Amino acid sequence: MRIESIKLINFRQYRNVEISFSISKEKSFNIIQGITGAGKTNLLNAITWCLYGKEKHLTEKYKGYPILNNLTENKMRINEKSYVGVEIRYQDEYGKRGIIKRAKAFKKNDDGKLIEVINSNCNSTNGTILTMVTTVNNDYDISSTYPEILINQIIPESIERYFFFDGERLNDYFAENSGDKIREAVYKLSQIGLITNSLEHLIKKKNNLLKDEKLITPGVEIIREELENLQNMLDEKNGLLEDFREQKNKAIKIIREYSEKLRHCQIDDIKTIQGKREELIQQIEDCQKELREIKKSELDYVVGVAPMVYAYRAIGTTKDKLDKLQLAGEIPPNYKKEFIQKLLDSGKCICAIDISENNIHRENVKKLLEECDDITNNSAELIENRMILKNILTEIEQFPTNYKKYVSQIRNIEDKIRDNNIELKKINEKLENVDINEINDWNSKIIQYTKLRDQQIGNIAITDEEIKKINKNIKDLNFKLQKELNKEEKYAILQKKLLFCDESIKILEKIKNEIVDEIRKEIERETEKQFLELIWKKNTYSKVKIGEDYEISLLDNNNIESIGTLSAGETQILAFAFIGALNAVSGFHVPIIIDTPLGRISLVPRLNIVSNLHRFLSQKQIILLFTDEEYSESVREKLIDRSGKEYEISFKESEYGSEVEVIPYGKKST
Amino acid sequence: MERKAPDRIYVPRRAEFNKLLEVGSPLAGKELKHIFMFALTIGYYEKLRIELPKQKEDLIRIEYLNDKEKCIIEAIAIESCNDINIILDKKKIYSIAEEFAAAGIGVLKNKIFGSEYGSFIKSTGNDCLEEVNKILSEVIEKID
Repeated sequence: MRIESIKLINFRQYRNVEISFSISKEKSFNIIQGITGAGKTNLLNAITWCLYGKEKHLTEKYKGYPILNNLTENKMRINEKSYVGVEIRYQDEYGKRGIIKRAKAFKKNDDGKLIEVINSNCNSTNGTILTMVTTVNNDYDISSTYPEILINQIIPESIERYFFFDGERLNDYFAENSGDKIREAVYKLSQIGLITNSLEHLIKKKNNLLKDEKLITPGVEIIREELENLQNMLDEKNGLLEDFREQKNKAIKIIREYSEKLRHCQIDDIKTIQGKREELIQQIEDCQKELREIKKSELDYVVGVAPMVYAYRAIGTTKDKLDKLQLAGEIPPNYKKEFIQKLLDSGKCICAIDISENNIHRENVKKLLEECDDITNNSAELIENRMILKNILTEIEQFPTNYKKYVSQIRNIEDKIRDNNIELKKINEKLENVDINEINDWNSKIIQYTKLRDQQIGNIAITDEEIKKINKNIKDLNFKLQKELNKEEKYAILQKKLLFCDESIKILEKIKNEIVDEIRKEIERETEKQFLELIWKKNTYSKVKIGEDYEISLLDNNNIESIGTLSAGETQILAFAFIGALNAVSGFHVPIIIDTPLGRISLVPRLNIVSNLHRFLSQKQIILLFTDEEYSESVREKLIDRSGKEYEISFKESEYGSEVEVIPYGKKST
Repeated sequence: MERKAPDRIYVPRRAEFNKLLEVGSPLAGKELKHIFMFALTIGYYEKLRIELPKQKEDLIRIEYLNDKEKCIIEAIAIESCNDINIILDKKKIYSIAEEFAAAGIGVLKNKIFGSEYGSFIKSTGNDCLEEVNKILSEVIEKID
């Protein structure tokens, strides 16, 4: 970017001034000379105000004073408006032109006090109006919606001080700028923002992925372990079940064997008793089976009817309401609402009368529609519900009879089982008391194995239940496992993403460090070269070093640190050299504007600096704001061949206030 | 007024309903709709109704209910709102049922597991018997 011109309207002492600059590469210097207080620094302020809405180099003298030219202010009448405007016309490195203009309006109120005018046109900082246009095909026609963003792309506000600066303050440069600040400047000027942004984004992404990882860390192994345990338990239980069944069958076989023996023994009484016992056992088993079936029916019946009984109040009330509706002739209704609506829609009545037009017949049908409730559409459902409710009420009424029947049946069977058991006990006792060893022995075997059989039946039932539970747990766990396996797939993908982030971060950090290191070394080389060229003590200093911590050091010929011993002028030279180096390596095509560039430097080095400025600020447009004392004839001689424009600021004061003019150098009227 | 009829019934904690069908429960082997009807009508009988939280789980599809069960659900809604026109708003009807069931499931759980093993059907049968006898005597009183 090269500034073609700056137009200042009512900006502090600049009431109406336009300055054009040389953009030629051969004559890249633009000189503006003015006495102290003439307005050189405010020219710098006008530029930063135009670009960022801030006067970044404002001296104490002007702080608290309005930006509006005091002459204009003093001439303003009550309620009269005026404005401050700064317009910069520029050309970028590709030859494309642009205009940046910032304006701010003021008004004198009834008390004669100057107030800022802020209205809906204000689109930027401090109630100002910022406009930016750029050229396409040599015509200004592209107006930017976001001028501030565009300006920051051309000259980021955060590094403005490396392009627009006060030469007099350069000697404090290294005292004010720590290693961190220098590092920041190097980062910004070397435009590695893209890499640092990518790094930040990747680190943020990685942290989010780590959060996700916590949520989906798969529990597959834990579940598999649980499943294995359950499977082992299941195998064990199945083994036990088989043993129990085997023992039960063995017991049954033995019982049968000895029962057979008793049934076919030589003693008739024993035969009869054994026959009776077997019959009783069969009867008890049959009764128990019947009892189970009846109890199941009872359960089904109670589960079915209990909700009806609990809801009786609602069922009764609703049935009464429906009965009333039926009695009133509302269900079924004479006609449904949707039927009447259909007639109106079709425009023809059921009696064939035309009701498409607004006539008396249509009115009658409309009246019918109004009288109809929505519920008429559901009349069939209501009628059906009424019937169902009626049946439910009958079922409720029948509950005592039916339930008592179940209770009675259960009681009868339980009684029968109890009687049969008493009888069986008696028979067992009879057989136990028979005084024949062989019979006793057979009977004991039957009793012993009956106990064993019953015990095994119990064991089988319990083990069966346990197996059912284990199987259910296995089923649930398999379901969980499937879910975890799905998570595992996600987990694998997540791991890949994390690996990618880690690798990318490593690579980007390496690239960043390499670039920064290279730039640091280049700046170090450039600074050293320029410093040693500009400094008048040629044999005193040998090396400029910018450490990895970005602290600048200057070594003398004995390799001893000398930065603390530099004079103000020498420090300024070093700062100049450093800024020159920064500019040389930076990718920003921005003019260098230096206020009082030679302020603290004595004559010999001054001439040395001005002779070499074009070398270390090559390819740059340079605007130098000299005091009359700085811009001596000898300095001018060194610069004149490279100067495209040369101005001086002329100061005018009247009874209303002051203003300045910027006129070609040497044309000032005496 | 007629809103789209829902296709399923929701409850706050489906697990509570499932638990009553597990091995060891007298209702093991029955269906979820039986547990729902029991919980709903007990909630209604005990006048317990809770506002449903946003977090709900689907329990059963309404198509699995028979006409009798649907009719009981509608009757409870009509009686609770004292408005027969509620029949037009199926969404509201089932929402009322869900609210009673969500409250009733706790009572049902206590009835099943809070008493002696195997006594649930006996005590429910006896309670119903007592209730029906009371209803019948009230009906007889009315007739007299």
